Amino acid sequence: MPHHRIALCKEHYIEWFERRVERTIREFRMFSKKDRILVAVSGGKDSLSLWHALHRLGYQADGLYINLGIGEYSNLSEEKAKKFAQSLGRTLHVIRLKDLVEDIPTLKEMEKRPACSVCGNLKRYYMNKSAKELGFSVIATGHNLDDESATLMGNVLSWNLGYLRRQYPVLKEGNGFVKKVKPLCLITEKESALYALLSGIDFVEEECPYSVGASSIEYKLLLSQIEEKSPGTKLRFYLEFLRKIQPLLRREEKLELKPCSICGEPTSADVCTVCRLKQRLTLSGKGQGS
Amino acid sequence: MLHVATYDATVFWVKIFIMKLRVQYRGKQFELEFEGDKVKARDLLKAMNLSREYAFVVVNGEVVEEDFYIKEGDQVRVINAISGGWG
Repeated sequence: MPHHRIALCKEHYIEWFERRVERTIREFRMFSKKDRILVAVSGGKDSLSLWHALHRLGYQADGLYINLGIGEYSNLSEEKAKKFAQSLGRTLHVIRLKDLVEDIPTLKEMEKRPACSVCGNLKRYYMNKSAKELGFSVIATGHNLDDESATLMGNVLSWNLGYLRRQYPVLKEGNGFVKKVKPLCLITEKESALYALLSGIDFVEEECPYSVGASSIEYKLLLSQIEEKSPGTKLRFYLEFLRKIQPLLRREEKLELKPCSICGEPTSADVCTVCRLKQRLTLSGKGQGS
Repeated sequence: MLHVATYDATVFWVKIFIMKLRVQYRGKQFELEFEGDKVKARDLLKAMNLSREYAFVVVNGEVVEEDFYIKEGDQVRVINAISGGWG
């Protein structure tokens, strides 16, 4: 691992990975051993590695899997998530978008905006709602350093101050939101994949069919090219942003949130985006309308 | 007078080894061909247009370094860690 200037054997690699996750949790004060943590699980290498590491570190972590209704991809990922939960001896809560709203392929046709945008809104909404209903105090997602640095790059290229203000590994509890954390934010995708493989985790390798051509992948590839020539770039880009720039942006945050008049979930509008989506579905004669 | 030249020709037979490698990648099986009887993990990644920054090779169940030689018949899996979208 050139950006850390070390080379490790299998056993010490696993130890290194778990220690790094623990250090990240402590540095950003994410949670303690007393908290009930809900891990957002997709069946992929990051979420399963995260859940595995948290379990090994002695944290109380259960999983939430949201079936997006994307054919074989969703079937396979749900199956792997369930098998993994069994191997850990922990609970996996499963919810299906089809039962709550509609599946992603139908929504994508209806909404005429990128599938990732609709999907992201719904996942965040149901993660938050489920965590509250199930009594969890923290949501942990498997966002890694490649995800965070690619997001940062995208937001900087457009100077999207709103998103930059909210890009932090810990989003505090408040205004109806459960605390949300990213314990893998200093771990690269390759490190996460290696940990999964060396730990014998059976994860989904197939990519979401809607992710083809996503700008996030383009940014990741670009950053990887820079990283190859200059190891440590991604970590520096992300960490220095958190340390130097983020505090300056946060001081000017003026976001006002209130409960949605229909479901009570936090929103800046009168009716939240998910309830508005459900209204559109009802008008078009589709969806569960719940 | 017609002069006919004759040449003493020696024929060289050159056998080029082509190895076929079955690679498992993202849940699918692919077959790649390489010259010679072995190929470095680094060259396999190059042939698949993948960077060592985000990809690595597993041979017979073990993660291998870039200079590792893969032979025909080895069980090969290539992992591309880059995932689409966020989270």
